[in-house]
Order: sequence, then C-alpha cells, then structure tokens
Amino acid sequence: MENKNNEKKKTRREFLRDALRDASLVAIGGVIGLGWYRGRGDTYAWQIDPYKCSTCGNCETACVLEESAVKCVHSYDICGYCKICFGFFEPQPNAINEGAENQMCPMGAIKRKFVEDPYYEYTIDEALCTGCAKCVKTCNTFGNGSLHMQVRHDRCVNCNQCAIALVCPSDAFKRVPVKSPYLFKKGGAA
Amino acid sequence: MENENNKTRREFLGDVLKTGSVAALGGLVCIGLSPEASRAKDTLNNFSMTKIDTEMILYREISKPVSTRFAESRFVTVDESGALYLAGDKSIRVMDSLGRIGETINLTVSPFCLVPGDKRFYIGTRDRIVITDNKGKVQTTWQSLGENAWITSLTMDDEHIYIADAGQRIVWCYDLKGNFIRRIGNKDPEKDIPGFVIPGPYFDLAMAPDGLLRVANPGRHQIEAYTVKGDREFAWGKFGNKLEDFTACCNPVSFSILADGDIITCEKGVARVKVYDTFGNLKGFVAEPKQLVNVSPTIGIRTERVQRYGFDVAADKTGHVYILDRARNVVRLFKRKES
Repeated sequence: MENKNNEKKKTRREFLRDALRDASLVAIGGVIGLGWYRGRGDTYAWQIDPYKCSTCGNCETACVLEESAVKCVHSYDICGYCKICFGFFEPQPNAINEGAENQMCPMGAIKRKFVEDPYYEYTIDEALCTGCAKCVKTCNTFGNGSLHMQVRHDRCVNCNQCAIALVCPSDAFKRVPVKSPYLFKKGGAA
Repeated sequence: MENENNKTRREFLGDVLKTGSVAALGGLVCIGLSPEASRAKDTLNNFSMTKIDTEMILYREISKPVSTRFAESRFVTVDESGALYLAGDKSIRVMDSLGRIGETINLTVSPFCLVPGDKRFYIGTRDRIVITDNKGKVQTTWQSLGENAWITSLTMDDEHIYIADAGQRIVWCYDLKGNFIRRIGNKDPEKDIPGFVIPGPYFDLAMAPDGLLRVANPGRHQIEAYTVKGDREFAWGKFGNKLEDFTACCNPVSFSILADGDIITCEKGVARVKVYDTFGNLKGFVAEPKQLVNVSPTIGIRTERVQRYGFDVAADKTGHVYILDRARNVVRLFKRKES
C-alpha cells in the first residue's frame, strides 16, 4: 500500500515540469490555430473606398489579371436617372443619342434605357467594362456620383499584396471582411 | 577644298547640338499641335464652353475670399438692408458687404436655407419651416412637409412664403401663419406645366421684381416663371455646349435676381456664374470657371468637389454679387465693373 501511495505522489519538481509541458503544448496549439485562422487568406479582401477614389485609371492597367478585377458599379439609389447623364455622354456631346461618338465609355459598356420622360436608366455591362473609370470621373464631376469603382470578387484572386493598391495615388484600397466585401455608395446629398 | 569640308570636333559637336535642338523643338511643336495632344488638353477643366472672352466678364472680385467658418456651408441670402446671411452647421452668420462677419446666431436646428423677415428668420430645415426671432430662439415650428421632403430654398412676398422641396419636386406656397395655400409646379400637360425634374439636392427659387416667381428646373435646364397662383407664364434655357446654354445633367443649381430683373445663375460641373436678362438672353459672366475653381493642369479632388457642389449665389440692391463656395467654405464678393 505504501508503495502504491508513493507511486501516485509527485514531487514538486515533477508537478511543475508537467504543468510547464502542458502549458507549452496549449500555447503551441494556440499559436498554430491562430496562424491557421489568420492564414486562411479569405478573411479579408481588397476593396476600393469610393469616397477616396480619384478615378486615376490605374485600376484598368495595374491589376495582375489580364482583364482587371475592378469594374464600374452603379448605386441606383443616388442616381438621378437623368436624360443627359455625363457618365454616359461625353461632356460636350455632338447630339443626345446613343451614337458611339457621343458616349463617354470607350467600350460602350453603359446601357441607356428610356423609363419615362425625361428619365433614363443606366446599367453597366461588366463583361465590357475595363475599369478605366472615365465614366466615374464625369459622373462625380457633373452628376450625383452614383457610378463608382469596386473590386469584383467573382474575378479578384485576392493577392496578398494587391498590385493596384501599390500604385493607387489616393490610398483608396483597403482590406475589408469577406463577409461584407463591397463598399457601395449610399444615398444622401452629393 | 578639303579644308572647307573638314570640320573640327568642336564644330561637329556644335552642329549636332544645334540640329538636335531644332529637331526637338520641331517635335514639341508637332506634338503640341497633334489631335491627341489637343484631346489630352481637353480635360474636364478645358472645355470650349469654359473659354470666355474677358470682355464678357462683367464683374470683378473686390476682396479675397472670406471664410464662412462653417464645416458645412449651405446657403447665402441678402436682406433689404444689404446684410448678408450665411447658413451652415447649426448657425447663421451675418456679414456686411465688405465681408466682415458681424454676428453669429446659434440655432438648435440645422438650417438648409433661410429668408430673413421682420425681426425673425424663416428657416428651412430638411422637412419643415422653423421660425426664430432674430437671436435664433425658436418661436414656431411648422408641420413637416413629408417624409421625403428636402427643402433647398425659400422666398417670400408680402403674404406668402414659397418653399422649394427637392425631395418631392414641388414648390409649396404657405401664408405667413403657416397655412397651406397651394402647390406650384405639379405636372399638368393641360396647363403646359411639365413638372420639375430634380436629379440632385439643387432646387432654387426667387421672387422677381415683376411679381412672378422664378423657379429653376435643373433637370430640364430651364428657369420657369410662375404667377403666385401657380400658372406657368414662360420658361427659358436649354442644354447645350454654347456659352449661353446650360450644361451637365442638371443646371442651373442656383440663381439670384438683381433689382433690375437680371438673373445670375450658378452651374455645377462647369463652374460658371452667368448674367442673363429677364428672358434668358446671356449678358455676360460674373466670373469665369478658372477664377472659381482654380483650374490646375491636374484635376484634384478638391477641384472636382467645387465643380460637383456648385455654388449658391445672392445679390443685393446695389448689384454686389456674393458667391458661396460650399466645397471650400468661403464667400466671394463681386462688384460690377465700371463700364
């Protein structure tokens, strides 16, 4: 019986050694778990703050993809549905019609549809949009600013260091949670 | 002969340098004249519609821009005595014609616009009229004009107050006690009223010396004249690239009427302040765009903000014109040039 008691008993040194070992294992596990969690790569995504974007045009050319992941998007709740939209038309159009020479977009990616006099709806054909931001610039200057640039996450490969962010002159690129990866413009005075 | 053909190294290098300089100069001239370069120059600040003959500029700036000391400047107006009232943040600042701020009247509401009355202010907030005494103490608050109301301008005559509501695209007429009288500008083809088209928060109105109410219809690029009963008498203005036309999606964003009936208009996009006669014939400019937005070769966000926000304008009886730059929070003072 005495022998059994002796076997169960630990010296203080043994107890401390075991405690240290267990604590170390927990700490190592924690570090590995945290590293895995942070290293999953899909926790954050790149996005453009539309209120910082200076429409420089770098998004079109600096992306690692052949066709940029950045596209023009449209916030309908701040659009004026104007008959003469300068996101759609050149600032000095020859005529107010859909002729290519009158359009701001070099790719013809903005579609104009009559709603009722004098309102028109404008939609972006993302397959055609190259992300040059020309329409965004004129919409911001002449209109309500409803057109703006966004990283489209069905295209973005989420590089660790976004190539466009490196050359963005207005520091408009930021990391956002993947659960809410878009920063759309919202309603309010221009 | 041989000596004539032979050049020293110095002569040879001199000739190369000379030829190179001439070629470079020629290249620069060609580039400058090429259509591509012209196109590059034709930035947002360099439209033909911004190029104005100096003889058409009828006013001169009489002082440096004066800070409004607001974080958000919203509205400028002048009373009968010539005192200038600036509305912004949660206060009204009173300024004289030389740009000296005399008094700041603190309010409990955010003023979107105002009209000074007899020892009181009629203040337009987002959706209702608040009447205060001349110290800013609230006397009466009228009922809301509706959930979608967005009041942008006020004017009054002896009996009525007219309220421009950009949110609901209508002009409200109330008596001075706050009783509803009528709506002005409802779309009515039978009365030849096309209805207001207000794509943004810019919708101005003013009472003219001829007794007709002038209302901007920016989506149609017009200024319309209404009787106080709401009949549309006439309208002028159109979209176009000429100097006398209005440009962008929706202009004019604001206007003011001089004592002789001339109308001063402000545009956004291309920041122009123009002078028209009563029937819309262009007489000249208060200031050209480069004066107003400090056009620089590279377009900065600040410049774009000035272009996007447009200006507000007020004029006193003596013909002084005050332009409120909402992006920079300054007032600019102009006086008609001596002819």
